[in-house]
Amino acid sequence: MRVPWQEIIAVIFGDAGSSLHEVVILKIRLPRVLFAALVGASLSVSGAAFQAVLRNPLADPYILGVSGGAALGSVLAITIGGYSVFILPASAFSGALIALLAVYMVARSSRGDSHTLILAGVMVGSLASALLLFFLWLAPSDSVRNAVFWLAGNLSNVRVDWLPWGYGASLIAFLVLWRNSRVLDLFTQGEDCAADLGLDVAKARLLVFAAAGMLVAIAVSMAGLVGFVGLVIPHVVRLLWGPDHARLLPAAALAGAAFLVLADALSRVVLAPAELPVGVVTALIGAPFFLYLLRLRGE
Amino acid sequence: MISVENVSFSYAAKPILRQVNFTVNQGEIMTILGPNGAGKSTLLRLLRGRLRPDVGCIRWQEGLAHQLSRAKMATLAAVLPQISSQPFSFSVRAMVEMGCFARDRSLWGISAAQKSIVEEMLRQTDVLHLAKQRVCELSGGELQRVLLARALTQQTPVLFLDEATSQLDLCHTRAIAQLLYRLSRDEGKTIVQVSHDMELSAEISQRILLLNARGEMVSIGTPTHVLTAENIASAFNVNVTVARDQVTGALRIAPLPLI
Repeated sequence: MRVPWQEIIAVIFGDAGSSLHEVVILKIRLPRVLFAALVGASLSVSGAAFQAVLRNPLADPYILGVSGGAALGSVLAITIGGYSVFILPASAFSGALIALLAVYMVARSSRGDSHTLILAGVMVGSLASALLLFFLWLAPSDSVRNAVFWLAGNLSNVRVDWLPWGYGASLIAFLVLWRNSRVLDLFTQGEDCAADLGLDVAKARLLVFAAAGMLVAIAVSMAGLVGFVGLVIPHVVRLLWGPDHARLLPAAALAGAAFLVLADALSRVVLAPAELPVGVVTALIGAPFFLYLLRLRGE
Repeated sequence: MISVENVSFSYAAKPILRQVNFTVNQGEIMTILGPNGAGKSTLLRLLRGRLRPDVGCIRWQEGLAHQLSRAKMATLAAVLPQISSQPFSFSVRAMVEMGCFARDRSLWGISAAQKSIVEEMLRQTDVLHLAKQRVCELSGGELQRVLLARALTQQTPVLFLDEATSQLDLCHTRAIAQLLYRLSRDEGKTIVQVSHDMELSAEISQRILLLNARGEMVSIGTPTHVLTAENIASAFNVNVTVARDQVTGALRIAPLPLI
């Protein structure tokens, strides 16, 4: 449906437009924009945090399998009937942390080789996807919307009543990370150096993993597996404003939000009236970008 | 300053160091020499409390090394690591400011006093003109000086170097060595370094600790006392001649020819 832009401004600023337009904008489109912004910002900030702690600019919640873990947690919660604003993200959070710890353990035993980290992440992600499909297959068809929703990422299932909770929790996680900007700076020097510079590495890492894992859990439990936002956005922001996390994190949040809102708009208009899952759009942009970075590092 | 008392250490049941005993004196440069696998880097990690000895203890005035918190230790000892790849393109100044974390943990940036220390250390290590450059654009020698500036910014009485100059060319190696010597002489900084360069170590160190491949102490003392043909043969299993350079009087250690 086409709504003229004058009408959009009028509705947002409270002037009465046509009542149909008002409903479309306030009840359908605005929540969806807010929703996409939340998911995009959460994924982008968590990507920036993972990249610092793992000292690997190729890290991203999707590539690391953390999103996969969160999706598996979500689907498990849904299949046992926990489709609520608390149980679903909590279960997603547990899944994210388990996946993250698994990847971290493997990467640690390989002494920080960056390709091992990525491979371990991809494998954990594959395992999570396989288990997820298995549970979806077991589940009665009406308890889970569909497999595509989780595997391809999708913003069409806006739960307006979840938005305040999602924004509140992400804001807390973001502030925890932002408050630790200097700690994230230290992590980029490697855990060994960070410890010599005075950081209690184990404690700080746990805090960052928990906060970033929470952001992933929020994004994934609401939108499924939207990949590569956490890879592309922090990268671009770093190119523009440098790697200092005090600036990087807020910039990545805003840019991530804007990016996913645009990607979502794109996913709705390309094949209109049909809708592409937004994860398809982000992967179409992100996967070639990842390959490009991989090639850049090889040189 | 630091006393190492009867320390033994093993990794996964493999003995690395056996019954090591010595003290590090305030204001001296001490070099730890020995073959690969002698436990030199492990000894440095033990000294700064990153590892805990199986037997014996390492005592600082402030307490046992492994019981001091990371935050406390970062105000006592700074580490100059080997240069490594820099995947994140911080500016040189931001990189050096990371050294302030040891003393100033405020959330948003650092105090003016810390800023002037950073400035001073950038100057001392001759990288002030690079302050705005990105670290990934630096040469190995420049990056090493930046890392040294960061370690000095911690303002610790002790500085540890783990083969810090092993990847540098002759010119940069000499420049860093001279700076270290000046720091110890003029500012009373205590420096403990692991090295493979025996001649340079002999030139700048007050004392040398020689370990063998089994992780035992072969000898400790002044360079001329420790670096004898017998000690070197015993530690490295290589026959050498030790002589004085006719022009400079410096210690010259030459392995016997292969052919």
